[in-house]
Amino acid sequence: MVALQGNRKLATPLLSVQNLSIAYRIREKYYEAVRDVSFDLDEGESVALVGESGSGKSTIGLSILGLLPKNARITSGRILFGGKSLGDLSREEMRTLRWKQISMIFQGSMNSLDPIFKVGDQMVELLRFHKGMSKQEAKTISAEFIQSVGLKPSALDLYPHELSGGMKQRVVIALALLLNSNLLIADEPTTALDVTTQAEIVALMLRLKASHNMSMIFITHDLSLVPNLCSKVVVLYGGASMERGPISEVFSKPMNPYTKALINSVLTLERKDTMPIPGDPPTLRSMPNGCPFSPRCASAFLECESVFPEEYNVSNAKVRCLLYRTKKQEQQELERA
Amino acid sequence: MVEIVENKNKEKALPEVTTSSEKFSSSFWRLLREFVISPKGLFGITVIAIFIVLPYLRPFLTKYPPLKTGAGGPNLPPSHLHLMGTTSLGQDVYSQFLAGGFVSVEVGILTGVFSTLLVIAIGIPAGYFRGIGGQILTLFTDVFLVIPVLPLIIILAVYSGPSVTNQIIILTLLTWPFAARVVRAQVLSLRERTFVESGVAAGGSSFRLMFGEILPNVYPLVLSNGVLTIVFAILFQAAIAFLGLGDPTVVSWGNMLYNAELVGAVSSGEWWWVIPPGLGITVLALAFSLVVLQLDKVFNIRSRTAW
Repeated sequence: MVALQGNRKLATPLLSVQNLSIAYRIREKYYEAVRDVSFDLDEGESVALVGESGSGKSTIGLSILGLLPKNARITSGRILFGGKSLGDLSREEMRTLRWKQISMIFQGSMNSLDPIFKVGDQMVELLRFHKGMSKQEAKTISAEFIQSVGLKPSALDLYPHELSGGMKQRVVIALALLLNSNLLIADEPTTALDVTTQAEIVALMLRLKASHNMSMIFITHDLSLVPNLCSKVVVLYGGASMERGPISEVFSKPMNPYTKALINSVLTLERKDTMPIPGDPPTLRSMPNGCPFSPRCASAFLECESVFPEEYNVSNAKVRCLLYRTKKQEQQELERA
Repeated sequence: MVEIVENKNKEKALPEVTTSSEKFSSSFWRLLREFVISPKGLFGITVIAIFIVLPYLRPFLTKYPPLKTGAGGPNLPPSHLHLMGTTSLGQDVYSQFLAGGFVSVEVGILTGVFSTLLVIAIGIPAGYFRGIGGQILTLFTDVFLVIPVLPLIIILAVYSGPSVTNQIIILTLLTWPFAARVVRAQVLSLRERTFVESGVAAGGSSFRLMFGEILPNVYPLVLSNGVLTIVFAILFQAAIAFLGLGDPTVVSWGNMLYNAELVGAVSSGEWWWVIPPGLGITVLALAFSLVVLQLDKVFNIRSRTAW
């Protein structure tokens, strides 16, 4: 696996999301679902976007592929892929980028197979369309890939409804890897699978990621999957990145009260007394003015309710919490305001 | 580069990869066979085939041309000379019956084909495109939907002449909006499914998604609506002729009924003049309806398995 790349910074990261904000229009009003999210992804590296439902993880994933719904729009920030801003691409350029460079495993991806075409035909079509291969060539490659995800080539002759959930997930993974794209966005690839199948799929993805040297954005709400697959993590809450940094750091000594609470709420073998977070996550229309977590935060103080915190550097991580603001930073912010 | 096979205890992968496309075409023939060997499908197809062939066999089945007056005496009941009797002008009803089915089949099938093409060309984009384009197409469909049928036919019959071609054009224009609405509704639902979204993510153009992914998913709907359109067109073509708005020079079942009605054949007891065309229309419409039923059954993908 790829080691943490804290020391070895490449000149241009493969993907760079910079201060991204995305708003949804609901009844003529815009509500921000993603607020000021930034992260970098180098080649071969994986980043996990974790958060509860409604925290904006899927929205970020869709925005990278330019697949946001009609009522959403990027209000600020930009997404650089290989140093080029995706917002500047024409529709045609975007279309050629999709799947060839960036592929995606969708949420509920078992439904992303067209029900009336055989699995093999769908793979062959993708290869022929994007790579202009002959039918024969495409079939050979499809067979190779279907084997690499642990299915028999005879599965190519099956319709999606003849496959089990786990098998469909494998096919979807094979489809996502088929064009050797540089970046894979996996949006909750293991939800709707039972735990043993989840483990198999994660093991499979881990192995394929290593053999294809692919970068990956892994979107999940399941913290337990993250350390295996990713080297970096972005913890999202209410559309904002609460804490981000190398997995080892964020998970072993979480700093943001939300991250702490999140990790404490996960059931492990050692810790049987989990600590659920009291209250509910904010909705788009009831977003607090200040820190989105402030109404539920045990260590919140008065200012948390009015000031949306910036990201503060704490060792290798970046934490969005006023607790980690130094006096000097506070001074600077006041001057700017 | 790709070398992993997941589980050791899984069977060794079989290297038979080349069969995919042959199997696809063979599955098509299976579907066709499944359709033809079913009682409904077989009956429907046979009846339609018979009515298509009969006009060509007519010269061998009867010596009287259909429109020849005085082929026998007027108003003769069925006999060995005239199997279905004669009309008030002494025309042979049997000969007219054999020849008359052709127009019904012709109008029905051509209307069905053209109407279906319009449904595909307008119904699918109307559902696929959100925004102004889709709205315009939907509005266009709705406008055609509310055009009153009979007045339009009377007007067009007066202005453009009552030819069979005109009938096909009119019936096409009148029938497509119904199916287009149905198809549009289905496309609205399909376009939101994940597999269409993945199609977009995979770099598919709108055209490719509409006609490569969504169209195959609505084929059963389009096809059965197409055949229903045929049934409608057959019945309506007969009705047009019966109202005297058809082309009087063409031998058709509708014209036969019109002429019979004109001289009061029913009230004077000349049943042999009315029953053959009436029965012909009914049986032909029934045949197409049975084809629809069977198509629905065969096209259900859940019953499709890999062969």
